Amino acid sequence: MHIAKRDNLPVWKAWMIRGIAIIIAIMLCALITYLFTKMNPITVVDKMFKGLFGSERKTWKTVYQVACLLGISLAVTPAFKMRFWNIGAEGQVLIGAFAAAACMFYAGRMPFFNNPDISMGVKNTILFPVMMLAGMLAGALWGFLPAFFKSRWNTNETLFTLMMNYVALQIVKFMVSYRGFKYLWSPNGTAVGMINSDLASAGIGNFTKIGGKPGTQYLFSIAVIAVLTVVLYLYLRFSKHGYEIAVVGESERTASYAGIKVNRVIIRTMILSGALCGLVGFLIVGAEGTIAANSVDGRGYTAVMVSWMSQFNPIGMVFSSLLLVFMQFGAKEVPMPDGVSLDKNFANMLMAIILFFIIGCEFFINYQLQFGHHKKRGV
Amino acid sequence: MKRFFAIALCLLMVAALFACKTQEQPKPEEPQGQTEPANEPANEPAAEGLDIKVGFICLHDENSTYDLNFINAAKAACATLGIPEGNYIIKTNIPEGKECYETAADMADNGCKIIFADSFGHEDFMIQAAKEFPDVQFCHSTGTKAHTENLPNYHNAFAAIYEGRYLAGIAAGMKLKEMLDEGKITADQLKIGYVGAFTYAEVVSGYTSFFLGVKSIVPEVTMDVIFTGSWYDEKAEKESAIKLMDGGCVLISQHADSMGAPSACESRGVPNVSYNGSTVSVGPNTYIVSSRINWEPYYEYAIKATAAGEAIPADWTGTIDTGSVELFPLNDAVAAKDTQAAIDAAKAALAAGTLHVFSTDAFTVGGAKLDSYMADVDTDPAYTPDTEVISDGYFHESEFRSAPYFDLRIDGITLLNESY
Repeated sequence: MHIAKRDNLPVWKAWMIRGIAIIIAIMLCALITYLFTKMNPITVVDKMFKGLFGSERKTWKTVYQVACLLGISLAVTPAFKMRFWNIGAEGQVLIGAFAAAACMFYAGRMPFFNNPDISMGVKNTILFPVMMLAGMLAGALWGFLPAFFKSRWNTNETLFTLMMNYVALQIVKFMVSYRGFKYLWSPNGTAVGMINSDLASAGIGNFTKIGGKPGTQYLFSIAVIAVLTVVLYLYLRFSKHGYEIAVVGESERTASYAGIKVNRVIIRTMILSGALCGLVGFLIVGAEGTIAANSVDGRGYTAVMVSWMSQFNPIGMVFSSLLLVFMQFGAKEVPMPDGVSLDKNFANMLMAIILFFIIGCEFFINYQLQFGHHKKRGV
Repeated sequence: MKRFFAIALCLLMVAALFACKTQEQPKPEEPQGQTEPANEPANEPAAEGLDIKVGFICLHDENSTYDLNFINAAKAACATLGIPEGNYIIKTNIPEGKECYETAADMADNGCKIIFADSFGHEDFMIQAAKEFPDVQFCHSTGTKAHTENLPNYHNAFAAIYEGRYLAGIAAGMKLKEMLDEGKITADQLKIGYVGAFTYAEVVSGYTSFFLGVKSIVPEVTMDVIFTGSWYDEKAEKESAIKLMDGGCVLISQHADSMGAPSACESRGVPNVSYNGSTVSVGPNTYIVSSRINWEPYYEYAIKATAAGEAIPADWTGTIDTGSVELFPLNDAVAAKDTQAAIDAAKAALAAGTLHVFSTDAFTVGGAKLDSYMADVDTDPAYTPDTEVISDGYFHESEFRSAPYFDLRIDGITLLNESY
């Protein structure tokens, strides 16, 4: 048996391979779920559906989860299309969220930082743009640094972006911890639990429900990301920038010969990528009304997978995100025989199986296994 | 030939996968354990089960003694009330963040009429959900805000666990007395150690009541306390216990959830008093006794009240009488003679109201007896004292709200670190 590269696999065949991979992955998930729950797979899927779309609020929430994952996936795509190994989305989103939350805390407590009286707060119409800008700037900075070092001194962007994740995480962890919080932000919230409950209930700096309907606070974030999907699709597909990104991704040398300033493209694209991550961070803070160290919760890494498995196609990412969110959040709605529901660790396991199969199947699209091809003696 | 073989192998594997699938299909006829409580252990089968859906939110899973205690109580309460398994949901590993709100809201959407959460940090998120679902009852164990929040459907619960700690302290005191009598230690070695998690009132109230229990038997005793800054940190708890023993402590107790301190005690042969669960498995030669809160009475009470449409008080404090404060059986291999009798006597006196754990005669602060103390009962970030809690000669713990608020640093107890 040997492995050979295949060049022109028909599109329908490639999609057939992907389809088979998804089916096998889902069957494996069903089998594992069955082993743990001893429940008919149809019942399990039914429970997952009910858990995710069982009420209006749940549907909003599920769509919002898809939107978040999709938003981050979109944000990392320009960088990956350029073959810039940016695994820093986690940190870029988190620091963006943090910057937005900081504006929210401060604006809510004007004129000084830990003013317990929140009645002087800035109006949301002014606050939201400020939060958004702050989030995007912070995210852009987190994206710019590794790109700048890469273009200047050819540092390794994978390690750099990874380290920036930890920097962001530790900053946020400290800032929302007991001491960081007490002395910097607010005398009126407690570090345990929701750190800014007074602001959240006053509706300062967070998207409020429309007509008091539960779940509608997510509408704004969903709408922004829907627009972003279309815009990014057009940007990558039809703009000059998008073309430059694609060329740099194919080969930096070719790009240089063609007169593209590679370093400039890298820095510009990473700033864009980081800023979009920061934008998603702002959308998360706005929709959830607060920030915590687990506000991004690993989605920055999952998004890398989503982007790759969709071949950097924004429309494909919609479906990939939906599939992953369905498995991840749906599994939590399934009870085990003793009444305890499957938890998020189990859900993550299912997600990992799906990712493994979908990304793994690209191997069979790009290569083919040839069994005993060159020795016919045996026949 | 080889190719044929390979294809056959592939087909076989696919077939095997489908075989697994088809095995799943006929199962539905079997009892799913979901709708039929038939395989339920023989709990007193309530004539007609309560027709109500209940949700439980837990911070960790059964690996934590703290959450295990809640999960067991939840299952037992539902079994006693005849609530079939499909009608209660237990969700584990729910962090103290927005996930708690989401989970509570999901449960409400699923038709739960009453929802419980078990961790201190869940409180704000339970309140958030309570505001959104006024028809659903939200009960939060260990919380402090229900009596100021004024929501008709949000409630706190705790137990007078300081009484259980006091009784456990008596067992420790009896052990010290035995060691003294046997000449194993001298009177100037009467120092015990305590591994605490945080400097929260809950912990302070716990170690103080334990200490007062010990002191009621051996008045000369002193105590050192180390805080670890975590509810569950096996290494830190072990190291703290060893540090205390190196510092001359001849008996150790703890308020933290791992086996760290009990196993350290076992390795040195130093007696240990546990909390939340029996640790006799790791300390057969050193474990004396353990106290715990049994949440089952509260769960049963609150679920029944909700089913009947009755109001639940903002604060509910379990006592020895309600069965909420429990002592595990003594480990006779370690406990001193007559310990049970001493505990029973104190228990009766506590129940009769003739004995108060925090009697102002039993302790001093800065060398003086207290006749007045303003405690921080209404939660605010500045810990503003707001309520007079000393009257009739004792500190009224867990009366103005269910969660403990005794935070006095009494004489005889030395805090070796206070950074948490």
